[in-house]
Amino acid sequence: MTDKTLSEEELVALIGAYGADPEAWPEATRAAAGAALALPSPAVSEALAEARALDALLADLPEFRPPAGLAKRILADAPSPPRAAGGVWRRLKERALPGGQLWPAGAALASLVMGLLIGLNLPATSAGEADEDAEAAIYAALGVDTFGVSLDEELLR
Amino acid sequence: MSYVSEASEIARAASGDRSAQAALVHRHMPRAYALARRMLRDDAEAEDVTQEAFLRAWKAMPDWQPRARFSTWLHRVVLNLCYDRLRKHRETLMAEPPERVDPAPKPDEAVEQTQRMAHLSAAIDALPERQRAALSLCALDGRSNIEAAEIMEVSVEALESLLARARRTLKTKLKPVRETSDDR
Repeated sequence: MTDKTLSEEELVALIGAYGADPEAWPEATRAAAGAALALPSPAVSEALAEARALDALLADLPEFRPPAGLAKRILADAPSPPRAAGGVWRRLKERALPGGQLWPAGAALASLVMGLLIGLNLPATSAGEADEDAEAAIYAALGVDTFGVSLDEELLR
Repeated sequence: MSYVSEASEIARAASGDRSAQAALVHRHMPRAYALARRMLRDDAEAEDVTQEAFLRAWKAMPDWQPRARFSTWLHRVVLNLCYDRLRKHRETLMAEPPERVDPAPKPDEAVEQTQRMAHLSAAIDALPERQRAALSLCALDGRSNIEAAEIMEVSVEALESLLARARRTLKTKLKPVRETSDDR
């Protein structure tokens, strides 16, 4: 029903389907509704009166309100934000390579290798000394001052 | 809300944005629930259907195409879920029709109004499913004829016919009540 003018029959049909308020009618028919409704017609008047009575009843009908907690339950089913890829490996990498820089880990590895090489190439005089030398090499590689430790041990004896 | 901003909100909801998800639920859930409740005439079933419809929405969101408004899509899902449930329960419902309150005339105006509403609710509940859906969407939820027809997946002409039949049935059923109250 998109005609610019509405016949009495069309008007009664519109009222019968959508009620008495032209605001509830299809948009295309609203413009023509004002003029058509102004025309005297017992059939239209009767349809309007009946529709108004039903509209008033429908408007008073209480709304159905959703139960408490339904929104929360619906949101509990909603997708979660994606987890960052990598998990444990990524966290370890971040610790070992802060800011993605390689030099701290590289420097630690290089000093460990150098210390081990030096320690292993020292001549062993006795089993005890060899052990001490090896220990000293490892401590040196790890950056521990074994001389200071030895002094402390001497003082404690 | 425009299609573009709605699509962006749906994309954010799909990627886990809690505020976008909450906005969608708060905007659409009450009307979806009301439609389910009107169709199913049962609180718990209406709640289940609303939750199920949103579950389907969350699943559909990653591949969402803004061909229809979210509201139209969601209410169509709600309505189809209601039709499914009604189909399953039809035999039970027909074997045991729900009790209707027969409003006896009482002088108190508030009681009279409550009875009128109970009578109207019972008359709406007794409408055939598709007429009840059409009336709920247009007369009670205030949707346009085009959107209601899209939700129901019928032509606008078919929707008008359903609406006209629903209103005619209600007028006939409510006439004795209206006449009784007019006589007093």
